[in-house]
Amino acid sequence: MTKPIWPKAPPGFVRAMLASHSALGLFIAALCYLVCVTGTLAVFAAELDQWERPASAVDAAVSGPALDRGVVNALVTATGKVDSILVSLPTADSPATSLTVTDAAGERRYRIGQDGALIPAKAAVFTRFLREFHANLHAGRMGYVIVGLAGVAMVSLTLSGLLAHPRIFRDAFTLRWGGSRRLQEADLHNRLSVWGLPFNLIISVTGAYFGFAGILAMVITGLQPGGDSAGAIRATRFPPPKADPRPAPVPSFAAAAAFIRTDAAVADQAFTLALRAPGTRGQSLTAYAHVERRALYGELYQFPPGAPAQRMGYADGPFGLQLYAATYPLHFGSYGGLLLKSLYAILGFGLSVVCASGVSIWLVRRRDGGRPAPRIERAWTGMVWGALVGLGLSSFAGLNPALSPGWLFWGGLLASLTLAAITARPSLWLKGGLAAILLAIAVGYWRPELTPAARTIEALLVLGAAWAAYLFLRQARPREAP
Amino acid sequence: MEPTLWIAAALIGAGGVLALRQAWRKGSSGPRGVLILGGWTALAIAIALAARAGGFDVGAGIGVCAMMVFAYGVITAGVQIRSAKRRSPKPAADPLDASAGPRRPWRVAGRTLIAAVLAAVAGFTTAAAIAICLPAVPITRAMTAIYLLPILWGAAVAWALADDRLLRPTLALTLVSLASWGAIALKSLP
Repeated sequence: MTKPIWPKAPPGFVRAMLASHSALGLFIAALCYLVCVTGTLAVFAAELDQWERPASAVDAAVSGPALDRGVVNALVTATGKVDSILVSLPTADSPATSLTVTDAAGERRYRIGQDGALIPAKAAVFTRFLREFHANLHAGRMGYVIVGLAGVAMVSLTLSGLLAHPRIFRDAFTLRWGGSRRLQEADLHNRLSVWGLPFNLIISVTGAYFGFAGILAMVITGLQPGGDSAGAIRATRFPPPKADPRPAPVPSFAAAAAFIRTDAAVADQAFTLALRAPGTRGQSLTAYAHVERRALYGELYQFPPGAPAQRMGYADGPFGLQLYAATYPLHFGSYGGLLLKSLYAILGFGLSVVCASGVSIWLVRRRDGGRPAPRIERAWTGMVWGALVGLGLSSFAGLNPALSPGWLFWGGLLASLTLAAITARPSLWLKGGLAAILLAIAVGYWRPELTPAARTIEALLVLGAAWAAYLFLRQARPREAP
Repeated sequence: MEPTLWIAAALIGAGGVLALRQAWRKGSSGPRGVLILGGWTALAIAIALAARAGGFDVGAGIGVCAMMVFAYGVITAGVQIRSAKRRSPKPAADPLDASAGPRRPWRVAGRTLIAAVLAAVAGFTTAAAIAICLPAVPITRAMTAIYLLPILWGAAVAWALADDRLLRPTLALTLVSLASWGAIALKSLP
């Protein structure tokens, strides 16, 4: 008989940690679940963009002169003062060359044609809604803080969950399905949590970063006025040049992209170029370039007028600067191609299941203990399935500009919660509804010109519809009498 | 070279997870140390090979994520299907159910206050102290502090909610905040 290698935790300590885990989990589970589900889908934001706007993905790279003509065309056709022109060059994720101009009339997006002509581009309504919902719940600055709080809570839940589980390694592969629902839910929750631990921690910590980096900078400034630490957080980008409205020639975007291709330090493809205050002496051209084999958003370049190009040093600067540039790709899994995105999506789905099953365990425990909470059970079912129904409905906004994705999402979620409150078997109808919605989306978005990435999204939608239909039919099947 | 390294990493990593599963299957009935040590060593080698194949960042990232997903697959493959039993509800309170025991509202309110306010203050001041006092260049200090903030804060919340006594986390978190503030004040002296 071998002794377990994990030290035995006192039962009182385990109980206290589990109480802490339950209290925090119940308080914040719905928020964490919404953030995790939208984050899992947002991993494929670039592919969803192609799926939603197939026409925007058909143009390949344009020539350098065409690119510069496109920029000039944007300036000529702009309304009033132009704040910025942003050009996105083709990448593996996004095959189009697009231009976004922000002027007195607002923000407009175009594709750049082979002759430099600007072709108005359809907005990716659903993809934008999804990304912004995941980032800040469409609640402005406060939304980032709320999502950041979910990140902190998930770190706390991970720590208390680990400490509350003394058999963590002994049960590392146990998954019992059927029989006791409590054991089933607990096994699912614990296995997904334990094996997904590195992913769950990275996602939570980087998620909290987006909400609290600015606030921590303010705290540091308050505690040490004039210190260099808070300034360092703000100095992760080039400072904006001094405004000077006197006219000046517009710099060549093509020349900047060509310079990056030959720069020995990075020598890779620029993917985004941005010109602030274009056509003035205070203009500033910056560019992000892809860095091969690195988990970085990119390397940042600046091309000051009449001076040599500067490089920020994300690829080879101090560790902190590299970590800054790695935060976004670490959170969204955008640094390892479709393979890593797929792995992130599976692990993100697992984390969403962890959030959902945590509350289910608490509800089953109550039921087993003779204190069932049927209203909360139904509400939680409505929440878990209703979020998926709401997200499915919100994607219809991409088919009809008159529809608002936000209204569709919240309307779908509210309808699901209402259905859960008034029907005896809410999950049955929500699963059936989800299957129908996913199939309708796949049919509605189908176009012959879809890119391979967009066709993969279509296939996943059909698979999702089949999965939801299977769950619906299995639950609808009449059960044998005991 | 790279495809060979990727294949080797995948095979060794899969072997590592399967070795750990074999150790788990033995339970406490046989020698498991070799399997556990071998399993974790194989996983470390697999991640190192993936890092070599795809670059440290990308390769290790894919390696770690693939290991986690493969483990999910192994667990799913070994699922124990049980037949549903009809049981009458257990009337006794569940000792592990946090909501089962008697609760005093003022204690709940106190604990919530400690977890919501004191834990946040302790987390922010400690992170600020790290950002100011850590011996490194400013951006590295700042980024280390930002990454540690949710871990420090989250740990403080977990402890504040778990501790039966209210005074202990109150005092400890207050002391941590004061110590961090003191460290910042000392560092800021001219």
